[in-house]
Amino acid sequence: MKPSERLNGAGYMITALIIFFIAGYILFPLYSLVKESIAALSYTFPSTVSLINSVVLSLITVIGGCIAGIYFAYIFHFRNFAFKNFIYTLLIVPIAMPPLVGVVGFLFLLSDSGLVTKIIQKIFQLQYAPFSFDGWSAIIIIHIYSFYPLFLLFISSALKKVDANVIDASHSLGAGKYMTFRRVILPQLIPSIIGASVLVFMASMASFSAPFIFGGNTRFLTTEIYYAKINGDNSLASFLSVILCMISVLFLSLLGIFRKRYSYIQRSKGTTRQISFIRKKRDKLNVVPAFLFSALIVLPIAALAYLSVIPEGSLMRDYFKESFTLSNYIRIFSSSEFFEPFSNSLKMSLIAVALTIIIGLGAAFIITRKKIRGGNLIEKLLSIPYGIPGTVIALGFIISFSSPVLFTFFVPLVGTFWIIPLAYTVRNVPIMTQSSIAGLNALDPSLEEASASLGAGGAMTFRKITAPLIYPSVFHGSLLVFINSVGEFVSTILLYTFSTKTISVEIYSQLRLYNTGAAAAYGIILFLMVMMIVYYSRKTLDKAAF
Amino acid sequence: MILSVENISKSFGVTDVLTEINFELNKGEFFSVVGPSGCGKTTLLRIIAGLEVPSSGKILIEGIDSTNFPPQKRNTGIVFQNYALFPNMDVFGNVAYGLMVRKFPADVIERKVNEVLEKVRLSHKSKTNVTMLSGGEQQRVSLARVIVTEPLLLLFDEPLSNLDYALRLEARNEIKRLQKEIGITSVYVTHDQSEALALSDRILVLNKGVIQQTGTPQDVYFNPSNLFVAGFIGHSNFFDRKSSLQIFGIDDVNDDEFLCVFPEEVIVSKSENNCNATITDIQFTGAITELMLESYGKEIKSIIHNTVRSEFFREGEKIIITCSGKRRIAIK
Repeated sequence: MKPSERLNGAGYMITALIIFFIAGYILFPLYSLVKESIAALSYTFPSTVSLINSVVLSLITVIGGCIAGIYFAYIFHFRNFAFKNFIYTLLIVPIAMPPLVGVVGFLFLLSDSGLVTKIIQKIFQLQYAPFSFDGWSAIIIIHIYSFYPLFLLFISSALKKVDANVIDASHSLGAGKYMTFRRVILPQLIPSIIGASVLVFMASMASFSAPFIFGGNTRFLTTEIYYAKINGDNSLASFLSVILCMISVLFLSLLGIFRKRYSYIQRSKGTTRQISFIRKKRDKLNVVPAFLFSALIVLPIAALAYLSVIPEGSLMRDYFKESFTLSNYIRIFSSSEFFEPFSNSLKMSLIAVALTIIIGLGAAFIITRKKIRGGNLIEKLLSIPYGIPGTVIALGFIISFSSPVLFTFFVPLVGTFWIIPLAYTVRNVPIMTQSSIAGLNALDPSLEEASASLGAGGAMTFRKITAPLIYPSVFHGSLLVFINSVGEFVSTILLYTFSTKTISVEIYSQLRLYNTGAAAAYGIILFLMVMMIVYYSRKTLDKAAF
Repeated sequence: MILSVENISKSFGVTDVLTEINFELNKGEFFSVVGPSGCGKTTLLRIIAGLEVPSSGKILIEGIDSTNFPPQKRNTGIVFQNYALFPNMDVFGNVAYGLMVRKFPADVIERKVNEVLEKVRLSHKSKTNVTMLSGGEQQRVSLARVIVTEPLLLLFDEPLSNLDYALRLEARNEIKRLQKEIGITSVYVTHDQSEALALSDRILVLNKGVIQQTGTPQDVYFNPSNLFVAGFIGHSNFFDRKSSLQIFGIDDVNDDEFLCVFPEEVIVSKSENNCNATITDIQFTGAITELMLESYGKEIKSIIHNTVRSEFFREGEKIIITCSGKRRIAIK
């Protein structure tokens, strides 16, 4: 053991804290869930309809997202057209958007009283809505909209690694464009496609907002869990949660296996010529689908924006004749009742950021620097929540912390303010741990050794050398945690009380009151907040890269 | 005695990296540890610096047992192979770091840092980000960063291996000059024997974690204690009893000995007949020509110092070789 790997007082405290966190907030809720779910077996065998629905929905989402992702990745790499970078950025937007914002956007766009529906009705003088945006078709469209950017990102980065010389070689051997794509390019993309498929499948299984708002009578696993909980059947909810988790874990381990099997494909020796260096024809035709699709990306947001600036309740009337007003925004920032969800969301997200930094960075430090025994196990345990849907985490918290236990210092947490930021922390701790570990691994250990040999103690070295150098990756992780938390809906909807409403819960309750203006305004604020953070983080991170 | 290394052994798991290392260093001495890569020399340096703990043995710095002291309590300075400059600070910040940690007042830090930067000729780059410096400049900053703290011991971990050949010679002179000027006791780890010979007062030759020989550069070069040292430091050719007799006609080499001949001691001359060797490869490098020869199935290396009057050879030519070296080394 190197002397720098010895644990000091602070090291022991951090280790103890992390073990307490894992035991109390990851393992104990899971254990409680499993225990509770066993009770359900004795009196009822739950129907498998919701399970099948969830799996079918996820498969359709994966296939649809994959096709869209491959198509756009291909035209962005092999074609040239106007506003390419701008359109690419637009196409990525849904990935950062809180799911509920997208869902509400689509609701205002395509539902019976949605903008597009009304416009069509007006043009063709129809008495009723020409189509009904509901159930399966609505959920599938929203899912593909929300999740295809993952495919686009994964495939794009894989295409960047494809050697352009290989493509030229294929052409010079007589293969046409289609043959080259199918036989040469596509096989090199398979690891990325599999990776994205697994992630999208899991995200789709865990998705709650779209099935919740548009599902109607069609039940999916996540909504089934929610309704079971609302009906007070904790055992059934737990049982379904355990099934949902098992599917997630199964797919995560599949991802691990595939990654190992296909990792050789991406290795190449010597210098590769990037595809971007191939001379591309300026192609006007491909602009059309790209423009159409980016318009599709923007439309739900545009609908939200439009509804947020017309008077409340005008949805019932003819809202094309209303005048514009900022009253919906003014109300949020002037009335304390309307401002509270906003400040709650901010507070809870910031607390979650702080807690994930303490746990994630602390764990990364003792794993990579102190190399403590069982470090690998700690890393694995801290990544468990990655595979657990938010609904399940919330349910685990409810079952575990409704009575006083050691881990909550014998205070019942359910119904308090703190349970929500704690749930956000658990959901996001894998992100922070991974980005901290990546940051620390990228840091040359001889820098810390140099600092020590120049006379600096452990704390000084951390403050002056380690911390400034891993700041970019921790900062990046923090922004992700904040974005994920500030619009979180899935677990909040199960955990909130009247005084701890968040923006997303407020959007939902305003919707139920048909206060579309308020809901839209909250949605736009949330959207702008997230987009500003994404934009800002891109700018600062580019600068901070040493 | 600035440094005493007493019976230091180190093993990682079942592999012994260092076995029973002993040596002592006097004040102001420049001491090199030289050996092939993987011989344990860097581990030895890291143990002296406190970055590794030995499995057994003691490190005494100024007579005080420092074996279990952390690096920051030892007052040793390391120049790392990759320089390990702090990328979040400029040149001044890097050099000032050790003084800042020691809580010197700002004006003293300013003065001392500027003095040292003057010494390494980098005053004009004081505010430059270290990532913008050339390799040679980075090397000088890492040196300045250490000597400004006036450590008891200066530890070099192959500091020149990341520089190209011309810069390496320049940096070598620089290190020698600074070390003379400041007189800091230094331990210098390298795999390059010529670097060690050029810089050191004394050399320790290490192989597979075991000391082969300790002595002055002349000592280890001219009186190698075993075959490894003769081969590693002098690139010597070895001849057993039979081949000594066959090639050179030397008949007093015992069965338990090798005749050990430096490449420069292998004398090559042109001849029409009685040739005993063939030239298999010629590398002309300017001042010297390196020849690879073959004689009675043995490969022999020879070096000729070129002058304008030198004879020139060609590949495949048959020649006569004799030797001017009469050193004999016992087979262990």
